[in-house]
Amino acid sequence: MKVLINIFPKKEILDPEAKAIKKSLNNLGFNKINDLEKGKQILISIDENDEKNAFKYAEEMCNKLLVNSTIEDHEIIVLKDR
Amino acid sequence: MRTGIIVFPGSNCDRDIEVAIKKFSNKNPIRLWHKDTEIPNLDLVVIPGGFSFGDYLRCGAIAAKSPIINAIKNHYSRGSAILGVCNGFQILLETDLLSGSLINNQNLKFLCKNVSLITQSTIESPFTRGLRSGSIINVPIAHNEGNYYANDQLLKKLEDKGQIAFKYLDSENPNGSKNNIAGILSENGKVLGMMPHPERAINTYHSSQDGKFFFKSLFNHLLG
Repeated sequence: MKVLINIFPKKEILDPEAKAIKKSLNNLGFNKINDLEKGKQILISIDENDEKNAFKYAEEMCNKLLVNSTIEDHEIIVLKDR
Repeated sequence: MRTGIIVFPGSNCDRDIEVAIKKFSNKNPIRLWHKDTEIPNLDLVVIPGGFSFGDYLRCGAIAAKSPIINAIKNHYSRGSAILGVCNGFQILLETDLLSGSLINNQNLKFLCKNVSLITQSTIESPFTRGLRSGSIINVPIAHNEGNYYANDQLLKKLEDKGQIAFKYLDSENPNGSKNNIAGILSENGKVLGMMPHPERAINTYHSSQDGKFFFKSLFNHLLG
């Protein structure tokens, strides 16, 4: 089973990179953008068939290494079909 | 006085800090590899700058999970001093020996230049004891992720308890750090993390020699 982990800077943290990307898109004429966040994705294949267990396992990995909760938020998506 | 320098894959200031320790304490530091699980009884452990593990995931995150970190925490429990410079500061934050985070410089540029550091009035600490509060030293920074971030509650605590060791001049804040913070102390004053490199300001061929004030004061105290 695979888990996809999306990691984004917390809302209160100024992200100049996201700002720069948004500005560049605005310059290209994309003026309907309300907000843009730039994060990272980690895809992990786990030796686990139970969805709940896979989620728990991913959560533990996030807490121990993958996410710094003082500056980042994350979401875990269990991919059943992969 | 015994000192040790921790070396990770990607550390690159270990040689410079070794030269500084020798120059100002007349003692030879020992080198410790990140895979070591024990460290001898030392008065000071230094985590040098560099790009440990290629700055993968987050700066310092992977180094902070190295085998030697438990030994460093034991060293901390014994009440001994720890200095983290630049990437060493980032590693200390990821180990939770210090609080807060270092994020991308506000202008998204790698910064390499001299800055003025103002020593703050702090709790008792071997790192600031010999430095006059309000005095300014000129030392280089060289980093991409040196923008110190803490929430308002933590910032207030750091300010109130005297845990901020160094600040940039308000007019010079190079990276967007909250409250112009350049270096902070642990609650017991024994751990210092700082972005600027005092070890790169100790020789006639350096652009400044002000790092000597930092090291002289530190080793005067540690050498007793």
